[in-house]
Amino acid sequence: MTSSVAVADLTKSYPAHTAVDRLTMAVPDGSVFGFLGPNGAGKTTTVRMVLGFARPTSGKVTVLGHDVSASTDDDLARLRRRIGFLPDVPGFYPWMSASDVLRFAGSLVGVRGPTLARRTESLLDLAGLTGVRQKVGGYSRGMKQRLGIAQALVGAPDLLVLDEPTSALDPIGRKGVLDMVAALRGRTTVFFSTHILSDVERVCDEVAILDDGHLVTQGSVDELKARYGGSSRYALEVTDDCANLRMTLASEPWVGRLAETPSGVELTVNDVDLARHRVPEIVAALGIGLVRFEPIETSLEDVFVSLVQRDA
Amino acid sequence: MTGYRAFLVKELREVVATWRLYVLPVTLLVCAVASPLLAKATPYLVSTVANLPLTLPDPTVADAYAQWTKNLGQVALLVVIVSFSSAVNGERSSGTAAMALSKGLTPAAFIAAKVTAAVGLVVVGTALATVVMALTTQAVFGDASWVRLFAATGAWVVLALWSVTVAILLSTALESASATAGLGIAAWVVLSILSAWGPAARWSPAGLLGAPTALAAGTETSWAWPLATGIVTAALFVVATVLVMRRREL
Repeated sequence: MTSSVAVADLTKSYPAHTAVDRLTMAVPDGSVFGFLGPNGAGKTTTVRMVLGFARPTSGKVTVLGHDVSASTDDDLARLRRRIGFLPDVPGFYPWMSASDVLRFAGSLVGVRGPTLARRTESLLDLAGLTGVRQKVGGYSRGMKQRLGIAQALVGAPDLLVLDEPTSALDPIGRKGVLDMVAALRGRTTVFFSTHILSDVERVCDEVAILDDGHLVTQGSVDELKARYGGSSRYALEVTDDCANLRMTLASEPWVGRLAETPSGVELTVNDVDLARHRVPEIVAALGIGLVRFEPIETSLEDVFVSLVQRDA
Repeated sequence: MTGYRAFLVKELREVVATWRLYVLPVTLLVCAVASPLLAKATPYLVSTVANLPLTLPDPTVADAYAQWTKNLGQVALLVVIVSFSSAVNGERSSGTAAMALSKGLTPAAFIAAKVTAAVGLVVVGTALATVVMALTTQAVFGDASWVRLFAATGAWVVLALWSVTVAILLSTALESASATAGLGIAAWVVLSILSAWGPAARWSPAGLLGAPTALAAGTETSWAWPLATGIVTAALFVVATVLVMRRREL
C-alpha cells in the first residue's frame, strides 16, 4: 500500500527543547489516520512540517509523493493545492462572510466559475452556515471550526489535514464532523490530529500515538487494542461487602492488578481460563452473591493511557 | 507567483471593507483642504495670538504649497508608516497567512500582492487629495500652479512608497506591529537627520524629504539621485521582504 504522508527520522529541535524526535511513520492512501498525543506531544509541529510551514532539523517528509523539504516555492504551492488544511485555531478575515471565505479559498486553489459557486453552496450547507448573514468576525468558535472544515474541502483535496477539528464543537457539531470524515474514507486520505480518543476510535482506520516528540506506537485501532489490551480485564460485581473477596483474590497468583469499584472489583488476570473457573468458585466459597463477572472491552483510551503513562 | 491575483483581489477588497480605506486617504484629504486654508489664515492667526499690530505679507499660493508639503512630510508619512506596520505580522498572528499559504499561495505572491495594494492605495489616495488641494488652493487664492503641485506631490509619493516598503519589510521580520511602527518611525527620524547632511540629501533617498518643498517652491533641487536611489532601495526592500517571508516559519 502506498502512503500519502511518510516521515522518516523527522526531528525538530528548538534551542530549549526537541519538539519532534526521530519520528518515522506512514499514512496509508485513502485511510483516516488518527494522530494521537497529549497536549505538547509534538502533533502540531509535525503537522507544520508536513505542510512545509516549518523546516525539519533533520529527517524527511514526503507528501503525496513529493519531498517537502526539497521542494521549491512553486512545487510546494502546487502540492498545497492538493491538500486541505484546518489548523487548530483557524484564522479568517473578520470582514468576510462565510461565502466570501469559501470563494477566496477556492480562488487560491484554482477552483473557479460555476464549479466554485456549486461547491461554495454545498459546503455552506455542510457547515450549517447557509443563510448566515453575519460576518466571520462575529462567529462563535464552533461556527469558525465548521467553516474551517468547509474551506479545507473547497479544493476537493487528495489529503485532508485536520488539526484538532472537533475541539471547539458541541456534541451535534462533533458528530457532523466525524460523519463527514468517515464519509471521506477511501476517497481522500485524512490526517486527523487530536487528543480526543473517542473521536479517533470512532472514525480512524489507523492510529499513531505520539508522546513527548516520540512515536510510541502505530497500527489499526483493533491491532492496538489486541496488542496492548487483550481481553484480560474483568469487572466483578457482588452483592455484599467485598473486603474478603479482595483479600482472597489478591493472594491468587493468576490475578494481576486489582482495583476497587463501587460494587466490586476490577481485575487483570494473566490466565483467563483459570480465572473463569476460579472467580465463581471463590465468590461462592465466601458466601456472597455474584451479580456480574465479564470481560471489560479495552478502549483506545486504555491503550493510550497505559502507553503514555508507561512512556512517562 | 501562484495565487497573486486572488490574493490581490482580497487585499483590494480589504482596503474597502476595513478602516484602512478611511485612515490614509482621509488624512490626505484633510491635509489637502486644511493646507490652503491654514496658509490663508496664518497672518490673521499670528497677529491675533501675538496680540500685536504686526504687518505680515499677504499669503500666497507658495505658502499653501509649503504647508501641504510640510503636512505630507510629517503627518501623512507617519500615518503611512503606522498603517502598514501590521501588514504581515498581523496576518501571521491571526492565522490568516497560514490559511492563505496552505492553499498554494507562494510567499512571493503574498508579498507582491500586499505591496501592489499598498502602492495602489497610496497613489490613488494621493492623486485624489492633490486634485482636492489644487481646487481648494484655486478657490482660496484664485490661482494654482498644478505642475509644481503635482511635481512636489509626486516626489512625496516616492518617499511614501519607500516608507511603505520599509514598513512591510519590518512587519515581515518582526512579530509585533507596535515594534514595527516604532522602528519605522525611527527610520523616518534617521532619514530626517540624514537629509540635513549635504551628500546624503544629494545622493540618497534622504533627499526625498526636502524634494517636495523645493519642487513646490520652484527652487533648483537635485532630485534625480534621491529619486533613483529611492526607487532602487524600495525594490531591494521588496526583494528582501520576500526572502525574509520565505525564511520565516508559520
